[in-house]
Amino acid sequence: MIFSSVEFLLFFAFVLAIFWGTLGRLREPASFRPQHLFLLLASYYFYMSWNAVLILLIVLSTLVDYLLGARIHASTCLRRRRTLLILSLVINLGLLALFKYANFFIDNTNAVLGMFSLRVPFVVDIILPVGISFFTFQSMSYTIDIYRRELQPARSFTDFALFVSFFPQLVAGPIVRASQFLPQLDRPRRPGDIDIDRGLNYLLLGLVKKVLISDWLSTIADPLFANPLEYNGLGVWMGVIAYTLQIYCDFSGYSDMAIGTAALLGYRLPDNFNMPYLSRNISEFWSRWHISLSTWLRDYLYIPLGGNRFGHLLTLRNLLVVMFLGGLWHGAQGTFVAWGCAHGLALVVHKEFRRRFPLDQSRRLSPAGIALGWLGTMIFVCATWVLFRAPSFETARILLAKMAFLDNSGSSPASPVLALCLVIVVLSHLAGVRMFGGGGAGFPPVRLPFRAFGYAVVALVLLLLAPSGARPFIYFQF
Amino acid sequence: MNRPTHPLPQFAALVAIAAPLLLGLCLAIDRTFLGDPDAAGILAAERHLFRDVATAHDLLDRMIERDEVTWDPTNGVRIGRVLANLKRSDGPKLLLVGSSQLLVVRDDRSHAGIPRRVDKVLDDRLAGRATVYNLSLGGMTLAEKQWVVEQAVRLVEFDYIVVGMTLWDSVSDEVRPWLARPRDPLPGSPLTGRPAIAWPAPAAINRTLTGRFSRSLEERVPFFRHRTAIQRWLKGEAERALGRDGRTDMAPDSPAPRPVERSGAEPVHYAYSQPEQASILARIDAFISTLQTIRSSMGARIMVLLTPFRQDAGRPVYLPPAFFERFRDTVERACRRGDILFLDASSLLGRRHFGTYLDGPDAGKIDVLHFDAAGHGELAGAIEGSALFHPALRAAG
Repeated sequence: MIFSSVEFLLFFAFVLAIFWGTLGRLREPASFRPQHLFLLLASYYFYMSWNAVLILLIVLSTLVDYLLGARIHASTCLRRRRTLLILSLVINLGLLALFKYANFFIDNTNAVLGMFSLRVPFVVDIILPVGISFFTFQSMSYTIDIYRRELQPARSFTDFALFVSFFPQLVAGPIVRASQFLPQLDRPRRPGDIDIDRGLNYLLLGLVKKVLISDWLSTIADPLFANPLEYNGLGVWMGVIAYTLQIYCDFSGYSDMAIGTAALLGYRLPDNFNMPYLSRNISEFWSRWHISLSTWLRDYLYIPLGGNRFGHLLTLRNLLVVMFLGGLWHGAQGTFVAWGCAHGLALVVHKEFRRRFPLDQSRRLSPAGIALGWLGTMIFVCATWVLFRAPSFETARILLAKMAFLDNSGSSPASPVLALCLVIVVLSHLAGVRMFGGGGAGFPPVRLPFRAFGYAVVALVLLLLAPSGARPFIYFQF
Repeated sequence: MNRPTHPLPQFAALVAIAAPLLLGLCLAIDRTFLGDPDAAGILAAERHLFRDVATAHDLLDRMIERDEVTWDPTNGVRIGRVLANLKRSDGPKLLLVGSSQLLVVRDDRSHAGIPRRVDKVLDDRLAGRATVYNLSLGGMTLAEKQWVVEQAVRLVEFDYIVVGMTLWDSVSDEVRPWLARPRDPLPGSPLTGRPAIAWPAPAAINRTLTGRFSRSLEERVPFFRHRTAIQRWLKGEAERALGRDGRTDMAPDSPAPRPVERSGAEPVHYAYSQPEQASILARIDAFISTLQTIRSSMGARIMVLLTPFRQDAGRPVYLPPAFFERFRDTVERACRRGDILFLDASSLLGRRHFGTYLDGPDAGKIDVLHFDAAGHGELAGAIEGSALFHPALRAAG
């Protein structure tokens, strides 16, 4: 069920009607929350609309972490607590490995065994459950936080299950921490918790990004990656820039819709993007792109590995390890790993550069310096999106060679209209910064009639310009 | 601004203003559209299944909505989705699998040419006797044909299977990554005449409700009935304003054939080295024995079809010149051994049915593989008149 589909519109209208109907009417005992149970059932229905059987996977993951979380919390023996945590991690990562990475490991093992004319005699014929990387990470953070004594266990199984499977962010994030969400379940939602402005603004902003921008840009980017040989250097650059904008609008559009949907139910989800394409260096990019994943990796991987506490070389190693695993998180494919490693290397180079040439905080960067930093960052980000999107290393190699104008065969779909469209998207990104500020939180206040007028016009534009059929979000595959 | 205590009044106020406004704007646009001289033509075109769609994926969505998935407009990129949504049909079914020759109508590559394609013509000719499914994909290798046939027969009990072969597409046994690892999950358990996964009550409920809602909206508000026509009209107007011709064709992904080797002379020809020849011939037996297994297990009548290509005296398409004969004889023998029907349509079509490549690396050269709509009609006739439907023909030799 895709947020930009009629199917979701009907589902959400039903959920909203029931949920708002209960606002302020229920006297709920602390032990039982009908609101939470209703949202949990709605969330399971949402997931089962994609695959009815694989809901069992979420239920299993939820049960395991709920029970282990309670035991970790109750135990005072450090050894036992550690054993229980390891058990939780093994089960969660085991499920992830089985469903997402089994064939990747088998293929790579075969590549090595192939040198000796051997091969693994089977493949694992299973499908990748939508959103598995998201809900597994979310669930794992719960037991880790309890182990660290940074979090109290959920008050009930329903609460915890709702945290794991809350439908607005179930299949593509943002990855919400238990410490951000569980406190919101301490009491039933009341009328004052519903932020209609925030909800509708985010929902429509996300729809515009997804339906009006991302889906149309895909018609430029998709043919490029399907037939890379047909494009020359300029054509490849246009296609790659289109994909760069597409993936941002697609993913941040989903996050916006998730935040908006949750806000209409009275819950607050964290922002996931903060104008990443304005970054002036790669470190800044990672503080603005997929914030919930990068902070998750920082808190649950980078810092436990030692972070920057054990010397410069180990810090660089930790960065590389984190980005390697970050790449692998996106998918069981060598190109994702290469993408993560390329970003890891860039972070290492940037850190090393900053160590040797520390920034003088008292001086402002010159406009030329800022522009140069931004341009370098964007060229790198665009080039590495090729690795991220290309179906194989061979396709990526062809595209990167053409981007470097080492091979200029083929033609270009370049037209003034296409170029104008790309420029408009870039400018609207910049305009968005001025209008919405940090992460889109600060929408300007507008009086109700004008807002209603605005919503009607946006809805009309969506109806007129949306391509037919709802397209899946790119991040669903992760 | 004071926030109401309950969100409903504020929401209701927003809806009370926005909904009539939206409706009014929709009606105004609909009226403007209907007042345009082009509207009648666009609406007439709209009634066609393949009305203006931006991409092959959109077309697939539309075909699924209408339970009309009998071919793959995405050239295998969404094969899992195609297989999961194959048209439900209770009567006899015919599966056609081959490469781009069975998909491309040379003289009309736009959507308008699809009804004149071999599978559609055959479907018309067989009306009532069989529903035709064409799971051919551009550039399909033997291994890919085998993969698609095996997947398809897991899902639907086909009564007839026709596998198109040429020498050109028998040279490689690669399976393209999007087929080997489909991006959409492949449906699982076998069923008769319906998509394999009858899942999800939730998905079925959603589909029903969404269908009813959309239909009801389209019935009550003309704007929604004309929405895609209006989109097309606006696009045409915009393109006219920008000085373009306003024509919008849908182009399914069907890559032009990649010659193994070509000389500078016309027409394009394909040359095979000795090891390539040996490997092609060796592959045939294994392929036919797979078909034999399918025939034995499900009782379908299976026929191998050598698809037409342009044959000019003294200018062989396949080199060395005698190799095609060896290839044909090997296929025919293997079919006979495996009790598979065989139809050699390689010389069915005359030169007039073929044309030249309009673009790509072979622009200007004669395309010896893809034929025009009339050729598709003749091929459909040949299949209909073959031993597949007339067992007596086979008995007569």
